[in-house]
Order: sequence, then structure tokens, then C-alpha cells
Amino acid sequence: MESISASEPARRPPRAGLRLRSSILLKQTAFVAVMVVLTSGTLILSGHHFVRKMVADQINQRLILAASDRQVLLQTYIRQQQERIALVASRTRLRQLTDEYETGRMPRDEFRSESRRILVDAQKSSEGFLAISLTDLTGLVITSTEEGELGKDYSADPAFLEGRQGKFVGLPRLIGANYRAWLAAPVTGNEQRFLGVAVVLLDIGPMVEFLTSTTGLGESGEILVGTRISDKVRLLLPTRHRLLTEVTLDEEASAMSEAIRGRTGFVQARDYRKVEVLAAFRPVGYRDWGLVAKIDVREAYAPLARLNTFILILEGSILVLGLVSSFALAKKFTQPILELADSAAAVASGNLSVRAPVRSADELGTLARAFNRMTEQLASSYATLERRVSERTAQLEATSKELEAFSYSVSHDLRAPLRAIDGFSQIVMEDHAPALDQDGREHMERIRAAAQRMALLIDDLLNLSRLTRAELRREPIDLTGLAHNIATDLRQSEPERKVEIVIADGMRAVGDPHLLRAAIQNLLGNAWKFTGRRDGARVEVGTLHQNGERTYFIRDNGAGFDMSYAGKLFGAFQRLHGTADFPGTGIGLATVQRIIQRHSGRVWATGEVDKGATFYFTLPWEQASEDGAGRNDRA
Amino acid sequence: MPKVILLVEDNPDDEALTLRALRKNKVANDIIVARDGAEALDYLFATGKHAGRNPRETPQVVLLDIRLPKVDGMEVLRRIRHDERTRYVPVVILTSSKEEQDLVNGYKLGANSYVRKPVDFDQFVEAARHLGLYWLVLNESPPHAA
Repeated sequence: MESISASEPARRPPRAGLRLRSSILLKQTAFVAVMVVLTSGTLILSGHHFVRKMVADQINQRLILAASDRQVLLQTYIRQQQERIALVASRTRLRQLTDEYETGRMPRDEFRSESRRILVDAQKSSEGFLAISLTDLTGLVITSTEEGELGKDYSADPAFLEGRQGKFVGLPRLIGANYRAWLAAPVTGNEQRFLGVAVVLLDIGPMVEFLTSTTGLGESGEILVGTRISDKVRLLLPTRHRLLTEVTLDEEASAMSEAIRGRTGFVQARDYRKVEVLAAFRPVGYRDWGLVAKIDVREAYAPLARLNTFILILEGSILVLGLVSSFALAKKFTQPILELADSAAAVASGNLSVRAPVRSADELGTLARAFNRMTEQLASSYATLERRVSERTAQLEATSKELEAFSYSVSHDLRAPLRAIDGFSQIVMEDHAPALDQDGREHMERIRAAAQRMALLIDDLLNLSRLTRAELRREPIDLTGLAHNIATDLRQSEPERKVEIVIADGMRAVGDPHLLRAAIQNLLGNAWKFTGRRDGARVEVGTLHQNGERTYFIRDNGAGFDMSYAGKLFGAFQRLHGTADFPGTGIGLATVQRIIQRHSGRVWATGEVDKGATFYFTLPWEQASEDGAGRNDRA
Repeated sequence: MPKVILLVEDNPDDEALTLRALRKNKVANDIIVARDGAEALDYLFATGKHAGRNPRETPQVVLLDIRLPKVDGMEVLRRIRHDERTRYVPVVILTSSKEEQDLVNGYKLGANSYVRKPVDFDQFVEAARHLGLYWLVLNESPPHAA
């Protein structure tokens, strides 16, 4: 009994490649990765948004604070200077002197020296007053702390024009390397009679320095103060980044325009450098002066940029970590499945002793245990089956042995009496011939013939039984050549007979050469035998295709047979003709049938009395042989 | 005095027919008949009822049936070939069996010839004639001391 257990190496079915479509491992990893990226991404984005808003708010606050701080400072300063110039202009003695001088009650030189004393006195008590001058009604300087100022005409100067109306603080001017500004205030006599204008040249350096101080405004922040001059915006203070005092309105940051128009607010726009800035704007509160506190967006959001970098790194790490951990997790899950698949493949290839490892108590563990129970069940039923098969095989072998012993016995023991019958009949004929008459001798001959015929029957029977038992070989066979050989033998056995034997060319088959030779010998022998009384005897061997199957045939025009007895043709010892007409034991066609059947083929016959017979048979192995000729198989 | 022929045959009919066939072919040797394997061995090795016979005087030829009572023909053949006194005695298997296995075994054990007893007595006589011609006339026996 052959055992099926892994005699050949267990073939493992090719495992599915690592493609997303075919791998749970990748599917789960991808799923987890998507989930991680989505949730962390959402969290990070909303966090980013929140932080950005916070940062923007903070910047906003800072700028507004800086702006309002500077505004208050500037307002206070301007008011102080107005008060200071007013103080000078309202000195009683100066007003009296001017009144007296302008009404001609005081000579010019006296007025100049008197008034100059007062002005110098005032200058001494006023810090930052570089020069104090006094114009007459027309704007000509009539007295001054500086000799050079005398006679200077201020009639077209804003200081005079504005100063006539009231307290005036002029725009800052860069004179040499210093910032100066004109202060002016009207000087009036009794009943508010206009006498002239007091003009002061003020050193505003400290104020400018203070205003343009960038403390608390970072790297790029600055304070701008500006006003409108016709269609231009004039920046009153030095800018931080570029020496620039005048820009056109349309070019100017909208913040300053808005501030000049008296509005307060916060905006993100481009500044005079075309750089994106955040700016808080508001009016100074003096004339159409505006104030802007601004900072570069880049700097303002620098913390945000750092945050972005940090977030990017964080998200990347989360993604990588998530992928790695989910891959590891998925591998932990799929590993038992793959192990189970391997075990199943091993079982499929015949190894029933494998067991899938049970690694956990979860569903996969349950599956593995169930698989193991199934394999055990399979192994035990397989073992039972194998035992039964070997029992049956033993029985069969015993039966076969008995049959062999029986055949042996038949072959040996049945022949001995026959030999005695034949032998002693002969002895009687030889030794006692005179005592026998003609009838007696004839009877003795019949006894001998019967004995010899019985011996033939026994031989045929043994041959038939041997055919049934013999091992079957599977080889390619040249049927055409075989038929020619047999035909030659037949012609030699009866050279006087004239039989036309036609054998088709190229007939090939697969089977046992010995048995197929016996079959064809029987069929051709029959055809030869049963055409014995025919003139123009003809035997044909060929093939034809029926129902997609190649069929061999052997046709003769001999005695034929009655189709109603066709069913008996292939039975052992069945004869459709008398022995006297055609000798034979009736075992030939039974032999042919056994041989063809052992080749998995069919055999049948058609015939008509005195017209002839055709015997057909098939050999299905020929189809399978195209690629596997020459193999030896057990039938 | 020619040597004897030992015929080992249990069937009296076959014995009679064989003797007749040999005689018809003018075989002059004495023919000793053993009716089973044991008796054949007794004769060959001078034991039992053949005690006292000189076992060195071997038969010219042993005609041996296979199916025999007590000790079968194959065993007899084996014992003949295993004893140095009888190792070179010609043995012809004379049997009804047509089984290929018997033929192969017979030759394997050292039979010199294998003859199938035909049912037709005329053929039997013919076979005996060939036997006699070859084994009694043409064949040179090995020397006794071998």
C-alpha cells in the first residue's frame, strides 16, 4: 500500500504579493495611517488656526498699544510746545514794547535791545528754543535773539501765516543733521489787536528720537508720522529702513491715508518698501497728522513659522510612528493567518501531522484550534481509510493467490488424466489392434481427439485467466507493423490460401504490446479462418473516426454471423459455428474483449450471415499518449 | 553396464506412459522409479530403504516431476544441487505445468532441461526420443570424483 504522506516536497502555493488589493497587512496599515493623518491633521490645523489667531491678536494689541502710546506722547508734546510759544508771545513787557515800537512811540534801536533782552531771557528759561524772533504785521522780523534773523521776511512762511491765526507747531524739518520745527504764536496788544508773530526755532531732536524709538517693536517694527501735502503724503519722521520723507498717496500704505483721514484701525498691507506689514493706524489729533505703528508680517508671524516647522515635524513623526506601529500590529494579526495558510497548504500536500500554532486566545486562536481539530479528524479518518484499504488489499491478494493456486492446479492436474486417456487409447490401438474392429478403432480415435480438444480448452482457459491477471504495460505500438507480421504468419501457416489482406498505414496506439498482439492475432486469425471457404477472400484492417473517437476495425467477407447472436459473441466458450466447419474453442473473442477492456476500450461487432463480419475496438490511451508515451502504469 | 535413469513420478499412468515412451525409443538403461520426492532423495543419497547403495553411483539422468507428494520436485532439485555428490547429475524437469514461474524457478535451481508433457501421446513419444538422444547418447557425464 502506497502511503500518500509527504513523499514529495510539500508544495507551498505562491503567497499573494504585498499589494494593497491582496494584503490585509497593507490594508490595515493604510487604514491606520489614513486615520492617524486625518485626526492629527485636523487637530493640528485647528490648533494652527487658533494659535495664528492668538498671535495676530497679540500683535494687534501690541501695535495698537504702541500707536496709542506714541499718539498720546505726541499730542502732549505738541500741546506743551503750543503752550510754551504762547507763553513767550504773551509776555506783557514784550507786547508793550512791540505796541510802542509799532505805533512809533519807541525808536527802533531801543526796541531791539529791550525786546532782545526779553527774548534771550525767555530762551534761557525754555529748553530747546534755538532762536526766538518777532515779526511785524507784514512778516518782517523786527527783533530776534539771533542778529542774522533781523529783517528776514516770513510773510510767505507757514510759521507766519499759521502763527497769525493762533498757536502753531510746524512740520519737523531736517536742518543739517538735526531735526528742527517752527513754533509760532500771535502777539497781540490791547483789545487783542494783532501786533505780529512770535516765531521759535525748536530743537525737536529728543522728541524725534523718542518717537522713532523702536523699543518693543522688534526687528522690523516702526512708528510713522505723516501728513498730507497737496496730493502727497509726507512722512514727518525718519523711517527705520530707508531715508525717505515723501511718498505719493496712491503709493502709500493705506494705513497712513486712513490715519490722515482721521480713522483708527488695524490693517495688513504693503508698506513703502512693498513689504507685507501689519499696521495699527490712528490720527495724531493735531491738524491732519496721522500715526502708524507697523511691523513686518514675516516677523510678526515668526513664532507661527516656528510653530509650523514644529507641527510639520510632529505630523511627520506621528505618520511614521503610526505607520510603523500599525504595520507591526497588522503583522501580529496576519502572522497567524499566514501560518494557518501554510499549515493548510502542508495538509493539502498530504502531511497530516502538521498543526497550526495557537498563539492567542482570541478569534485567530479559535480558528487555529478549529483547524487543528479538523486536521486531527482528517488524519484519523485517513488512517482508518488506509487501514481498510490495506485490509481489502490483503484480502484481494489472498483471493488472487488462491486463484493462482487454482489455475496451477487446473493446469497440472487436469492434464494428467487427459494424457492417460490419450496415451492408453494409443496403447490399446497399438497393442490390441487385431482385437478391435473398424468401429472400435474409430471410437478409440474419437476418445483421443476428445482428450486433445479438452487439453486445448484447458490451455485457452488458462491463457484467459492469465490475461486477466498479468501486469499491463503502456508503450507506443505500431499496429500497422503488428498486423503485417500476423498476416505474414497466417500466410505461412496456410500458403495454399489466397486471401487479400489490406492493412492501413500509420496506425499507432498505446498499450501492452504482448496483449494487443494477442488480441489482433485473435481477430485477424478469426477473419482468416472464417474466410476459409470464400473465393476472393478479403480482410481489411483500418481506422475510422466515430463520435470524435478513433476506432480500429477488422473486416472480412467470410461466414459472418447472425446479428441476433451478437450478444453471445464475446462470451467464453460461446461458438456460433460448428467445430466441424471452423475449428476453435470459443475462447478467442472472450480473450479479445478482456484485453480491450483492460485497455479501457470497447469492442463490438457487426455482421451478416455469409456476407462477413466487422470487429471494432477502441484504445482510449492513444489520446493520452501524445505527450507521455512509454510510461509504465499499473492497470 | 550403462548407468540408471531415475524417474521421479507419482502418477502411475504417467509412469507407465513415460516408461513406454522411453522403451519405444530403445532406451536400454535401467529405470528406477521413485513415487515421491522423499523416495527420490533416499535413492540419490542412499538412505531409508536404499541404504547400503553406493551414492557415488549417480544416475545418468533424473527425470523429475514438480508436483510430488511429501517433498516436491523443486525441493528435490535444490537438494541435488546442494550436495557435492550429485551436483553435476543432469536433471530434466518433466511436468504438465505450463506456468512460466515453474520454468523460471526450475532453471534458477539448476535444472538442465525443462520438458512439458504433451497430452498427445505421439508428441510425448517424440519428446522422449529427443530426451534419450541428448541425455543418454550425446551428453558426456561429468567424472565421478568431481
